Amino acid sequence: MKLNTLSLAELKNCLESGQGTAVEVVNQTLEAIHAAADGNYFITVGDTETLVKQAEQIDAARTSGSTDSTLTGPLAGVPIAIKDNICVRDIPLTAGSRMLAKFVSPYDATVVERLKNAGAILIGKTNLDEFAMGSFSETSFFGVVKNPRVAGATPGGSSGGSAAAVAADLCAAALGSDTGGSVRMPASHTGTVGLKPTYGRVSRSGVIAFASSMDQVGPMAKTVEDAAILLEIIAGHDPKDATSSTLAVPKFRDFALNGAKNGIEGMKIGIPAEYFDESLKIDPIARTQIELALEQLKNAGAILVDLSLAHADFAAATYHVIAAAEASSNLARFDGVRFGHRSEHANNLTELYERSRAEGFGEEVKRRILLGTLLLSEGYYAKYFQKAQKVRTLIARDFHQAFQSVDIIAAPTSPCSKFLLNRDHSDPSTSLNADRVNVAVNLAGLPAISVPCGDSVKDPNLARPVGLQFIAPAFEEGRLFQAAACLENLLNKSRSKA
Amino acid sequence: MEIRPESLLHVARLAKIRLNEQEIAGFTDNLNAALQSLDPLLGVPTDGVPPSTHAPTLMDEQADIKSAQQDHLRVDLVEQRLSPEDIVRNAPDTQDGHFRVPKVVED
Repeated sequence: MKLNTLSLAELKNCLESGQGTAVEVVNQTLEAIHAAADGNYFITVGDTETLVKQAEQIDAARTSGSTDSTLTGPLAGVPIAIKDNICVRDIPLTAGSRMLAKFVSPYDATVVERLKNAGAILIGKTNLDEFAMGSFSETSFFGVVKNPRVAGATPGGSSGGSAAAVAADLCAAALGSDTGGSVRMPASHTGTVGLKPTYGRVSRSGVIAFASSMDQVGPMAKTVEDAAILLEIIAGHDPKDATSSTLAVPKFRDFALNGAKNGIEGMKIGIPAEYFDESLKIDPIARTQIELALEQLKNAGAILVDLSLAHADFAAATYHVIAAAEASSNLARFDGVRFGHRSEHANNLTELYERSRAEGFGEEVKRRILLGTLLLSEGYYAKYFQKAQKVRTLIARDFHQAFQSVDIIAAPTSPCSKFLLNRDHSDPSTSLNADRVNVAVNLAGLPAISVPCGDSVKDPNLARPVGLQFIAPAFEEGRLFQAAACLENLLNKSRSKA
Repeated sequence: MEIRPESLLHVARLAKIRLNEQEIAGFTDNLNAALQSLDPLLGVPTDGVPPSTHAPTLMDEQADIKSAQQDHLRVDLVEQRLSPEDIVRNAPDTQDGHFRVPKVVED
């Protein structure tokens, strides 16, 4: 049995029942990772000797009755991949940038600490857009990430390496981060499940800050249940992140199991006109598959409600202002002094800053820092930044109002069913349209899940990974798991009938 | 407000990023295009709308989950998270456990 091809839940059962060992899992997973090196999914792969030793201890603990949670926890022996903007102690962290090409994390991110305490095997650090700035996994200093499911295409970004690693069975599940769609977009393009939690649900401590008011770490998985299991482990208050919520973490897995078993009869799903608008240029394959998926939900008893999010069309501009402004401030710490790249051509301190940053950052990162610096400077601050902060309030109010009459909202995750590597990069509309359906959720701090609905098209030439996105009120991830698991179950049934 | 190369250079100095001639031209065009794309935002009526700095302030408007957002600050206790060695381990240049930079004070 190929253990690396199992879902997280299946693998847990397999290990817990003694049908497989953690050592087998590690060996098979590392073998698969090395065989797939061409995809450029990982920046750092775990050291074989270290991981096998950890796996041996886990296998031994299973029979010895150990109570050490790092060896017997709910993820004991389960390989998890980590986006390379999240700190794992003593392991290199690059954030996909030359700036951090030689950086080694001096501590664990809180999410990583929690995975380790649950017994997870951290199999490697995945490739991403530089500092998570991008929608296509094309701006990494370590090269473009390929899509394991669609030849000649990118997996979307910025958590493209994590999504690809899940889709190519190079881990049981992974962590990504989502500031403006960076978990959901690549999930959509690789046929995997990706969840962006409510702002504050998951600690940001130890995650490289991009736009602090929107950054959230989220699970990326093969199934909805797997994503729920992972979120349950990483979520919850952390004293190291003052914005993390003190609300109790619900049993998300039960919501997923309930959705698969009992469906979503009576659940009201809002369909915002703005997210299905012609101007988004949703490609016919994506549109067909999303509409078929919504039809299935309707047949299963969900009530589809047309609605409008009045400020949805301003979300992308609002996001671009706020994200660039926050990024320019956050990335000021990379000064060539305490960590990161230092230029060898500096004669004084100012030159040291200017040249280190010029050499260390890639083009897209420089562009966003410059834009953010401009927008926070005299004459622009009030006109653009404060305006964006006010429109942000209006965008959040739109959602709040919509949720008075519906339980969740549905939207395409990505208007395209594939991003070709050799497309016209000078056309900004592809990226902009993707932002239009994704970033409002980050601005409003809401949770959203992308679930694959790509198998409803039977023609193999047209069948491509396409994600349907559900959005819920703050701290209602349970509804997302319930609806997503219901859809996943309906699609599995129609697939097995075919 | 069109950005000209001189004003871009001013921004680059604020951002502490040295740019070459080609980058100055490219980023000037790019930032002008970016500002143009933000134009629609300027027309949105926002009189009397409070600004939001981050999501929890938005949630404060929604009383039902307000309770979730209280009392986040941890107790102010001294604790050691990183050893001095860990703090300087990624520094490009150190001396006696301190970060080292080029001479700042002129002779």
